[in-house]
Amino acid sequence: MTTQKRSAANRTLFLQVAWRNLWRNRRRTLLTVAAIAFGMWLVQFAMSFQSGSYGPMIELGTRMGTSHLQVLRASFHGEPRIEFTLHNVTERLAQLDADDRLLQASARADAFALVSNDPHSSAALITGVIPEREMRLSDLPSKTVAGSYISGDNQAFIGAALARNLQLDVGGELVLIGTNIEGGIGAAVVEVVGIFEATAAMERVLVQISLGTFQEAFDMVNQAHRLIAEVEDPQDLNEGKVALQDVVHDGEIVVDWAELMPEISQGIEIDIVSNAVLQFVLILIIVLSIMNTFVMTLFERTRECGMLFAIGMRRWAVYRMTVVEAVLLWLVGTVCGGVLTCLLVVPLMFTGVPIPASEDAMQAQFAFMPTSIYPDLSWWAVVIAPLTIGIGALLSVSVASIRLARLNIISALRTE
Amino acid sequence: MADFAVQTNNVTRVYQEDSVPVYALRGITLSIERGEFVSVVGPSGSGKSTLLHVIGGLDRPTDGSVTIEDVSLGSLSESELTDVRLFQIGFVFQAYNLIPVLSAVENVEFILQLQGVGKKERRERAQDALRSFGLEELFDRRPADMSGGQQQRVAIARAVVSNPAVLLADEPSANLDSETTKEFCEYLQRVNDDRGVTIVTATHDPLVMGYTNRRVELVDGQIAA
Repeated sequence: MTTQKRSAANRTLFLQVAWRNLWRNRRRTLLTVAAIAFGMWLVQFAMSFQSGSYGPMIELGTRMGTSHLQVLRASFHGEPRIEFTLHNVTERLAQLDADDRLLQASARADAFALVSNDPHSSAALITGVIPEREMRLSDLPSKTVAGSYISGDNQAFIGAALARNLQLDVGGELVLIGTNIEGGIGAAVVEVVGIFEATAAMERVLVQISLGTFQEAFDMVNQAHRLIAEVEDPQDLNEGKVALQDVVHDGEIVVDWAELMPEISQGIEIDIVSNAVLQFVLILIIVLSIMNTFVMTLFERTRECGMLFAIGMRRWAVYRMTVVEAVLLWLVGTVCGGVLTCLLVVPLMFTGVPIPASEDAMQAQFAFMPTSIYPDLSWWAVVIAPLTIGIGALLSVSVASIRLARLNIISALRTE
Repeated sequence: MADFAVQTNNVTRVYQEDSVPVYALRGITLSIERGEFVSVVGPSGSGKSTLLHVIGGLDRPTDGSVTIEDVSLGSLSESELTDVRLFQIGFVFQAYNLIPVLSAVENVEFILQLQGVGKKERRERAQDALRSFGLEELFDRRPADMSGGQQQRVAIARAVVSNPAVLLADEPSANLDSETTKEFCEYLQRVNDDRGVTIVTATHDPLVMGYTNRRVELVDGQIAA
């Protein structure tokens, strides 16, 4: 009989015997299947929940602040002084507008100034923006609680806390006094047209005026501090970066949201690592439970293994039959886990999981927390848990099968 | 070609128990002709099972040689020895040792499947073997649903289905009552007569001895004079 023919016949044999062996101790098998299925579901749920929370978190963070990409002077990135400006802003914006790799672009300028409404005054961060572009790029205009967003020159959009401190309301007059680009006095008088509520820090210090008013007040003709741009996918910025490189001049750099908001990118990294550790521990527990199943199984079948060796089955073949059994156990567990995921994760991808706390208290502290999370079940999340458990199962069986290699046939046959 | 199915030459088997050598077999020289039905008899601890294990290639002698159908087992690797057990030797154990998850016919087919026999042929041969032992009603029954005698008959069917040169039976009647033992021995006799299979059985049961052509008596690991 050729080896090939024997192998083919043995494959059927292994499958048949392994499948039936799997159900010899039904309760134990079901418990192990449940552990695999539950573990797989939990890992897939955690990963998709995690992944689903990052997108909105980045989106909220970028739309409330930095946008996805910025061009700025390298010196401004380290020390945001008013004189570190970008020139020819209008021309460069026109170039960015024509680039298909970017969704949209705008320019901003920043200066610290004293703002006052006699007799009240306060320090503030004055940001010059292009209102019609800002409406598309930023969520801040949608946070208006009184009045409306700025639509032209000599108008201001201020935080609710600052408005309270200065006892200002919509229609009030705000005086800005700071240092202009030449080191002289930069000043403007603007009308408050809108008040917003956002994070506590933004509400206390932020004043938005039009870029035109800003340039006039601070003597920055056709200049700004940042060119900002939005891309399709904030987690894939390469194309956008290349597009921005086309408008970069000497001494300027392109930076992304992760560099501008390290609290978000580092938070995500920490979250990924801590969850990976938890998921690893979970999978380890499942793998140990599979190992326990097979150690017990092979221990209980010692005499049977002795008989199989005695009648002419090779040790390698008995090991392979055990591996087939492990693979079948893993398959059943994986299918059950897949069903659990379909029932308990996939619907949430459409309905979302509400995060009630983020709507009020958390929103004030962590403006970047979404109010609902839509789990994002990636192929990686679908594959990694069963794959890791499967590899673990094979390793478990191999460890449990070490005694097969050492088993003395006669001692095995005498086992009760 | 020699006329002997089994030959042992000065076979010694020594075990170490707490560093003390225990002689299970002491210089056994034995020749069993093809077609013989031999019982190895003797009191407990006389070395009957050890001799069967050494002949069956389940254990290697400490000294001496064993030849099965002109093949010297001492010169074989583990995998070659496994093949000898698969193709040349049939085993019947005291505890039946059927595979509990397989039916009677599947248990018998198992050996043929290990040998790589095709599905149709092995099913026919397994059914024929079971029929010849009066088990046609039990094809699909699993061991747990069979009596001890029925399981032992399935075990013989499994042992002979591949037409081995030698059938080794270690205390096959130990768990059977006298009526079932008698029936079982008649089946063994038929295997020996009809198929010409050489049978070596270790037993202390006089009923089994009565069916054999020759008795080899062991005392303290040696053949008694």
